[in-house]
Amino acid sequence: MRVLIVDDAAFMRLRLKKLLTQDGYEVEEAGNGQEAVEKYGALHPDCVLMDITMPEMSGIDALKAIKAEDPGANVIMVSALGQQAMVIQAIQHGARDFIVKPYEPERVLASLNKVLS
Amino acid sequence: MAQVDEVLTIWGKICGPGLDEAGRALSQMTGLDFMMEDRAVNEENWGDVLERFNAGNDPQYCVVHLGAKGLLTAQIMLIFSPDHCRRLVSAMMGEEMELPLDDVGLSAFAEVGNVVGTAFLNVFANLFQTPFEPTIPHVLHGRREEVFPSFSRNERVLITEAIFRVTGQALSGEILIVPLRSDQDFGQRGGPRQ
Repeated sequence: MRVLIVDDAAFMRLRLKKLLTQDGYEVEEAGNGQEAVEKYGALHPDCVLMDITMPEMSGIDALKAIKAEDPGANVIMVSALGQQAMVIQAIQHGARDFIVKPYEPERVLASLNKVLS
Repeated sequence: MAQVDEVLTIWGKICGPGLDEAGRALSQMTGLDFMMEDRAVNEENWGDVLERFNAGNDPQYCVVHLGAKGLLTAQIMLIFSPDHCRRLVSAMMGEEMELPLDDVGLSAFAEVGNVVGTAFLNVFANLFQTPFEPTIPHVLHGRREEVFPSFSRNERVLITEAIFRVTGQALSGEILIVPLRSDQDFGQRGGPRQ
């Protein structure tokens, strides 16, 4: 399974990449929403882990763009505490699940299993 | 928006729970055993804070800037010496890092500021049952004039001297909060734009 990690924080991408590759996932990375949309179109990953708060193009806008291109896209939103309103907005726009930062590794893997099963 | 004095008083009172929350969140994020404690919490004028950070021989700092909007509108700064910043990031990365930090190292430090600031804001938000909107954190490193925003010298600031305990090390950093007035906004260095 191929997962696209989208986060402007290189450290967070590194942590997630390590976790997912150890669990057998193939991982691609994007550092902002625009890059995520481009990589989704080129790679068609099985799932996207999308941070909400990013410069240039937000996670919500990237989610909308990906869903417009592929309504069946599996997108899991990664939010900070206190971003409940944005999480609701993301779910309304087709996000399949959400994870709140800081997250436990088990929570990430459980969410991926749920969405991809 | 709450008044500056009220915000500082409340912030001073939530320091303990805020640091506990930050320690838990950092442990969760890194998989390491993080503990945080406050050594001192003081309210000072921005001018006095600047003098303090100008002591020593050509001091340099690593600073994470984070903004908060909502009932609490404020500028939050996490300040480390370059060596303690390097040691903190080395612990997080599981390898010895060198200065200047690379992009991943700077990103790790930014996340520490993000987690610490957000932890305090969560305690604040839970207390008042009100949402907040944190801004994207960003890191600056260099001399005092390169890393601190240009507030008025009379601006009131709360400064918390904190100890970060991780991997057998006790690393000291300062957490500053500057409540902003409604006519101020976050500028390019995360400081107020009048």
